[in-house]
Amino acid sequence: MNPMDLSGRTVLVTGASSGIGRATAILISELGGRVVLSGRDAERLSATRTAMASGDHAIVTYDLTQTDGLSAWLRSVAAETGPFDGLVHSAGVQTTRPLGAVSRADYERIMGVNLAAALWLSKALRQKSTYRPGAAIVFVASVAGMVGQSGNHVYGASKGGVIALTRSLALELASSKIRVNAVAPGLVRGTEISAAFERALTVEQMSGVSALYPLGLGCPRDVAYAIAFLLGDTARWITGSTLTVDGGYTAA
Amino acid sequence: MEENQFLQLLDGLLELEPGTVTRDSHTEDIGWDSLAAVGFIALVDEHFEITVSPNALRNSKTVHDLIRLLGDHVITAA
Repeated sequence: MNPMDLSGRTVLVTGASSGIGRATAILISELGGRVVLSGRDAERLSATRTAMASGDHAIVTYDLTQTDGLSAWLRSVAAETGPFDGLVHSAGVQTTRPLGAVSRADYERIMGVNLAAALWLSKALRQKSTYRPGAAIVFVASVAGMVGQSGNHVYGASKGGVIALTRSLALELASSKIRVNAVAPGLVRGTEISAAFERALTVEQMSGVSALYPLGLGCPRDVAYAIAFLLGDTARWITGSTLTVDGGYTAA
Repeated sequence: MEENQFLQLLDGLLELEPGTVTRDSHTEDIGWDSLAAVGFIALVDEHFEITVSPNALRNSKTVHDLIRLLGDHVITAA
């Protein structure tokens, strides 16, 4: 008997082309769940689907910054796939910018994909035909939303916002029997964000970053396990919380 | 982009009065630190879609060295 079994559940995963989203889609399929993979590039989503356990998984493309059309879009997807039992918002963008270099465009983009999309996706999910009671939302936040990092203020603000959003949505959606939680990962290898760090930092600087993590840097599956835990019956009595998955980084 | 636009970009990155940075400025005199370096790499990636390696940056001691890293992307004044 597997308490983390997700058979019979349909879960939308954004950012499913890479990193944590991809690992989560794969894990959900291995736990028996059915995934609707969302991203901007159908080919990359297809590549994720190929790596998944077999199931009736679907691919949908949508630009999450188009928040006006989100509710109608999600409703139309649910009309095809059936209502959702889960939503994982893993799509996210990060740019390191010292304060002197941050632009309005950076701000809009980071806030749009990381925070605004979380809000509008939740609103879209909450439509009557779009969710099943007992559904669970999991946002991918970040340790950057909990502790400071020079040059990472906008990203940190967006993820701090996600953590706060999680709490209020959890209270508001409890009566609809929708649980809302977040995971706060540290730096995870094999993601677009870590690839950007590896391009921007020397090997010594990168070792310096790793050294801040008592258990070293993470991998996408580490975070996927926490997300799957929060999606299923294992988290039946958990809502409004943020689960830190960071190799001990924030314990310092 | 033109050289003086690039110099202004650097003024912004380092939060200096516009017109402070010149081609001959030494990076250590204008407040260049590791955060500026990371910000520079990100800015260059965004403006010119080229990747500057952090090691190449380490070896750049003047603004002129930085300009040289960008090749044809920065049109130097005669």
